[in-house]
Amino acid sequence: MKILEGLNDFQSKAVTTVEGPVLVVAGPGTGKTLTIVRRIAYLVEQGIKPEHILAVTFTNRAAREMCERTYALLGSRTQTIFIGTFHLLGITIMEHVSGHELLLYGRDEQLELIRSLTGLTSKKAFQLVEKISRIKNCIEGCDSTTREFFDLYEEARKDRKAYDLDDLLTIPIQLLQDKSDLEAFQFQYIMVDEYQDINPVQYKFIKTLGRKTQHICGVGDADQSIYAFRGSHLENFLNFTDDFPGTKQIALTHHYRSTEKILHASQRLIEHNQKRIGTSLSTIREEGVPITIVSLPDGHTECYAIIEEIEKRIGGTSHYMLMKRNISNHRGEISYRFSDFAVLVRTNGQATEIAESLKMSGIPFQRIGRITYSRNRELINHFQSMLSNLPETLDYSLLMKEMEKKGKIVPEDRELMENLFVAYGNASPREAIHAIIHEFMLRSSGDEFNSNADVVTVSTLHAAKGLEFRVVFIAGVEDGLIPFRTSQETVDMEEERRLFYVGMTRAKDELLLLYARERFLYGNRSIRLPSPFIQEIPEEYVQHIFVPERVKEKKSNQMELFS
Amino acid sequence: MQYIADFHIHSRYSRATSSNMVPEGIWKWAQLKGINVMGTGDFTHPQWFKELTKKFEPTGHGLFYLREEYRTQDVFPSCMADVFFILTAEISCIYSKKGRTRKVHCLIFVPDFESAARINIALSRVGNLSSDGRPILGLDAKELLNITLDSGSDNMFIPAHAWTPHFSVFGAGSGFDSLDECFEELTPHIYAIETGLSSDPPMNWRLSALDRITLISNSDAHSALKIGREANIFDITPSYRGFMEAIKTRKGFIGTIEFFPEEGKYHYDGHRSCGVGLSPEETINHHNYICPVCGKRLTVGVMHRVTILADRQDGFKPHGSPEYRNLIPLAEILSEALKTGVGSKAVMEAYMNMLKNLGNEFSILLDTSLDEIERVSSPIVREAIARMREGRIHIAPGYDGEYGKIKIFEEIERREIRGQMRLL
Ligand SMILES: [Zn+2]
Ligand SMILES: [Zn+2]
Repeated sequence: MKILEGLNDFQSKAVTTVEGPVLVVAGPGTGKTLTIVRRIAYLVEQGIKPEHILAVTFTNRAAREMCERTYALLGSRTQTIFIGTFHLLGITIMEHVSGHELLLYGRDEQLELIRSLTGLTSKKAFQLVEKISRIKNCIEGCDSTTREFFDLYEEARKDRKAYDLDDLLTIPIQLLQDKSDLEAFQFQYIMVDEYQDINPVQYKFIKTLGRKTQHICGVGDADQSIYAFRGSHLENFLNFTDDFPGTKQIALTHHYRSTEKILHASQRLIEHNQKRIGTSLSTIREEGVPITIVSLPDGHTECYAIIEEIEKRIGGTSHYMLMKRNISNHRGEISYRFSDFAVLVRTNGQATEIAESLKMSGIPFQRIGRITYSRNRELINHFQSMLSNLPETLDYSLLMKEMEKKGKIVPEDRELMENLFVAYGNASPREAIHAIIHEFMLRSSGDEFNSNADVVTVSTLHAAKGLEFRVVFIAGVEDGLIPFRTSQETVDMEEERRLFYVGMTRAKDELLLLYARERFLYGNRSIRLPSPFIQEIPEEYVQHIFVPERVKEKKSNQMELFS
Repeated sequence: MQYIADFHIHSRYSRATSSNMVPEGIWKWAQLKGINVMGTGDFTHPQWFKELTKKFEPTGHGLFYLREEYRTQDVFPSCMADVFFILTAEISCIYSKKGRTRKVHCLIFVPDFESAARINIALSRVGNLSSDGRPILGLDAKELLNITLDSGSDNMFIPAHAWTPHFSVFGAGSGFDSLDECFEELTPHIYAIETGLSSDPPMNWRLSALDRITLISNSDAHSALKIGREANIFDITPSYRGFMEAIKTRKGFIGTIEFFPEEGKYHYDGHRSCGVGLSPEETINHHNYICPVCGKRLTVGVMHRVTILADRQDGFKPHGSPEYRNLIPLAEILSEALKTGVGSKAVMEAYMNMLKNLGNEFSILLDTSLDEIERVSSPIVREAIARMREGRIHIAPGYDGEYGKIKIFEEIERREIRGQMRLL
């Protein structure tokens, strides 16, 4: 049977076990998406009506991948299967009930609204938006000062007949409860991806959707639950069997991504956690090279070390590098490309530092996982508004001035605009503005992972979930960063360990853990200690490199750390 | 009329490039060197591009002039000449194809700022253009060719220094065995390759696959003094299309001015850090590609690579191929004659003195009578230029990034020439 082709026994079992509640425990690199996609296909082959199948996941990226792969397997039959994010499901239900398209507010529009209502600074407004979101998701309560803002916001939103992302969860739950006969949404077979990450509202959403069916399948991995700060409840996952009596639990235990050394090391690390299901994974891959733990004098040398290690594996990106740093093709045949590398860090501040160094080196990279609200959106809106009232001719400097008034223009925007003005200098204003809008649209998903870009990825550990790379650097593996400590809050060591585990298991061939002995952090130079998690990785899986302090006189040799 | 053109240079926005690589400096040095057409280089760099749009003025034929107000007064009257500019850029494509890392440098020529801007817009979608005048992009060279063709019908794409081991289309380290392998169905859009300093036309003639390809030569200069160390000679009415047509058809493409390939820094095989330079024959038969000093794999040079890919014997000359002249830069000749460093004050003074009295460097190296040369220099310089013109020189070939060492005189000869001088 084609549907089970190429699956291992555990995957096959997960695919064909469709009756009643099922919990699929899918560790990193165990073929989770493959299994879900085949399970959907299996259901269809079994004669289940496609419109009775629901597969819900968290990110657009995951949903897109699932859709594409299901389509490749089933073709047009996929169309009536619901595959998408919680938010997509929510808006679909809401629009079905209201009968027309609804106005949606993303984070940008929410911010605009809050700012216009309260006159708060961007930063304060951003915090308030986050808070409102947490309140709507039942993650925290609402104190009296916030209540005032909350009500103000909600009133204004309702006036504008707009809905924010959080409404897309709470409102559908209400609708489903009130109109229990919502026929279009009588799902018989429900699959929830990343079940370990669902928050209380999402949990309620699933429970409400699944009132009339037994066939609920949770897929996930307790060890990769990293969104407690967004209110996800690992307990939902751990208690699944009690929550849905008669659950059949299936663990996918064949691992296809990391070498044996990397996999075993990360397994031994995560075994220190209590809150887990505890399945052990075995990899089909070779033993591989040891994990390299690099001790560096400071944050700057950490950046240099990463660049140098990338340069070595690429065999030098320029003659200059080859001459300067004695990097050569002595390794023989090389096969790396930039997209084989990722640098993972705990905080956005670290990511900025590494991104700056990469930029200086000329190595192409993409940065993901930044929480920013998109300046592109504002610029696009501005240009779109120009279309209805076009000037006779476009005055470049005037337009730049207007854009600057609208908000922050980064050098890249300015450079792009300059090129656009030259390229469309002889075109009509309409044509030029359309071209400008098109170009900014192309770049608007700036912080999302682009799998087509052949560039080095710089990411936070959180945003790297679900990705894989041949060579992974985790930088700043230091106590205080991993685990992350602030003076106010107590550290959830298990959550932090999971986050580190997620980072480690992104690596296919090589994993390098770097820590600095001294680092400039929050405006202070501080002495750093290696992460306690490093101690939890058995020595048999690692090799250590100690990079001494730079010798001041030999400035030109500062790059040659490992030669 | 004949025009000498050097299309491939870098601006001060490129890594390890001299601060004298500004429009004014390039304009001035083009005249001192005797170059009529200069590539701008680096049009992908945002700041350089801005500077170009400000300081250059289109001639209307796809070429550019440096605007009057930026022209300086410090060019010797003997060297003064018109200089045309043409918009060019070099991209370093680093990517993986068929399981191997590929690193291919490519030259792009465009007729106007609009086409350049369109390319810049397309490239800035895939990478960062501001870190380096010659940006590194994770882009397949074939895709770059595609973008070039899409951005303007007159745009031209030429693989740069096609034979250097690390960063070229035929490079031993990370290149391909044929243009087809790299550019596939777009290969017909490749009309020329840049031979690079370490190879000359006779080496390239050994590949029948290159018979339809024009062999161009440029300096790849990172400082003003190195402008024009290799160049192209055209006999056409100057316009962008004129130059491109000549490159495509070889009508009006007279030939090239070349380094002695042995002087190039990747002519032979070897290890720079180990001081080991070897001929292809030695590498294969005596060392089996292993460095006798460090035991690691040798960097395979251009000569070796040509030998491997060649399907003809050394010495073959295809019918109707353009001419070429091997030259040694005047400063290096003076350095050898005066027995002092190229960058020394004595060499620079002698250099400037000759230019001031005789005209631009190319005319001195190629045409000026030996008597006249001796008149403003010395018998040793005269003899050095005579020997260079006849090719009677010794060069210890370059390898693994180390330039070849030129030797025009043995010590004993030097004494003899000086002796004769005294007798006279
Ligand atoms: Zn190059
Ligand atoms: Zn060696």
